[in-house]
Amino acid sequence: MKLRVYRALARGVVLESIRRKDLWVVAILGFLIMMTAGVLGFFGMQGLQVFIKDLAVSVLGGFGTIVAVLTACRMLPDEIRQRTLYPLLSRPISRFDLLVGKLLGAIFVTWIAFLMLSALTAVALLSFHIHFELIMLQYLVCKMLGLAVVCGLGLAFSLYMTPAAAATITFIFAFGSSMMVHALTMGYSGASPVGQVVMKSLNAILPQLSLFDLGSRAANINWAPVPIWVVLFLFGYGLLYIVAMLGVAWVKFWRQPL
Amino acid sequence: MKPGLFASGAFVLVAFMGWQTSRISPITNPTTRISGLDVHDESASGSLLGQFRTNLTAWLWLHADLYLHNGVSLRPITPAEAKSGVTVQGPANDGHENLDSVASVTVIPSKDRDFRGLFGDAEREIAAYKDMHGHNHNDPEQCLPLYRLMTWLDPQFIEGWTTGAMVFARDRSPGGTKRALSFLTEGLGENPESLDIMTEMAYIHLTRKKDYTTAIPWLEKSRALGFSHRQNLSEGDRTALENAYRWLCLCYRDKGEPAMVRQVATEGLTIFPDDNALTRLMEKAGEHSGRNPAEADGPRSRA
Repeated sequence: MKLRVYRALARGVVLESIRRKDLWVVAILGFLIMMTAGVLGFFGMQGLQVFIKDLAVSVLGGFGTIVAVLTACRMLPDEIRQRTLYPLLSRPISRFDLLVGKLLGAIFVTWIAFLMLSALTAVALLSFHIHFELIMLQYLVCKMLGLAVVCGLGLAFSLYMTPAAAATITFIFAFGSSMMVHALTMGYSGASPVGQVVMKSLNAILPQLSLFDLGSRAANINWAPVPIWVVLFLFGYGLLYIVAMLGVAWVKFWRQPL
Repeated sequence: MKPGLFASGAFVLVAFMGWQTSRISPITNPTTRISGLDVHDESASGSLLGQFRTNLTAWLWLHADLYLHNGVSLRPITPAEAKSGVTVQGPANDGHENLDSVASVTVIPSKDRDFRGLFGDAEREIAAYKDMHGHNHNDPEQCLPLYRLMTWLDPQFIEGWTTGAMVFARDRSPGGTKRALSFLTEGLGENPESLDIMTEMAYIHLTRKKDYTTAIPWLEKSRALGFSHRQNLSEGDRTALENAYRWLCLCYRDKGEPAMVRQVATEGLTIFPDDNALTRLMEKAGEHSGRNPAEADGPRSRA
């Protein structure tokens, strides 16, 4: 029963995204990828294979994140502002179900966009005779998981602040969490005992989104695929973080006057 | 005014500004970089337009470094880390010039200095990470197109020319040396007063061809130019000038010209009074060791 509800809600998000022509953004970004590839082709690819692969994973990660943030941060505020939320809530579904369904929809939209971009990038790479290794597949799977976490973050923030502010904060976490975590590791040994406790707590709470990015391995040569325990750990961590974000969103949404 | 006309006018202005960027190149990238003169003091628009090109070049520079290390990110070691016993993860002594310009450690810490537990373990498995003590570099040939690209984008980016030449020169065959010298000559065409490129040119002539006759004029030119601009040298040019003095002293020592060694060292010490190598060379100026400067303890940190 719940699954049918979630599926219907998620489908609504995907259809809305198509109606709003969000996926045109993906098409434009894809066009940019192909244009860039054309320009690079003009200079010649000899010796630039690693550079091109690196550029490809960076572009994929960046564009995927943009789609995830913009989709997740706008969904609920738009529904509330346009008052289209009332007919949804008049049906026999709880507010939590609504959050889950919407989040699943945002994740699907992001994954569709990401896979479309990946396909375009693959075409561009293959046209340069750049071959893929198994780790590239792991990169795609882990990145999709990471994008789901970004959607969770965006959804939670969008209930506490304006969509623009939520998008900004989510972007900061999406692109800056790695820097924050590395700053903590650098400062930890020199910090006071209290400071170390604070740093450990921050490290535990911060979304470790860089863990979902295998780009540096996928782009460079002779790196072995990631062990299965790491992929399972990422899956568990990602799921846990998404559930936590859903919880944070629910705390605000379940009594929010509409 | 009609919107279409307004937009067209704006685009024409933007296009005009774009075409004019080559004219401000001498302002944004003077042939001799004088540390006392920042372009933003002179031309705000020049600063803004030059910024994009510089950023792109810096990005390529960082990526070239990443590829040399097969994706493993390195950062300079902090004084606190050095004090607490963290060891520098330097390259192996493989007979080539050191391409790492600073003492570095990996950005992702090793297990023994990482408090993150499982998160740290996972990151070391996910990102390009390995222990970099005595590391080797990837085939630098792979980075050559990047050096080409960055010097094409920003011909005044001196480190692109000099490091690119070092990468060419790792191939110690006559062909590699020729390509390195040709790359530097191209760089010198764009930066006719770059002390760094001149000193690098001399370095390659000395270490690869043992050619004093060609190397000494380059070093003398670098010395003369550097001495006349000694008050306004950038950090890079100061280092190049100091190296030029050291190499010149070694060359004159090995040519059996102690008077020249004394003269060069004395002049060098007026600019670099704390330089121990120059002091030692001046003290021993009367002795002629007969050693080839290319085989002597080189003045360059990367030698």
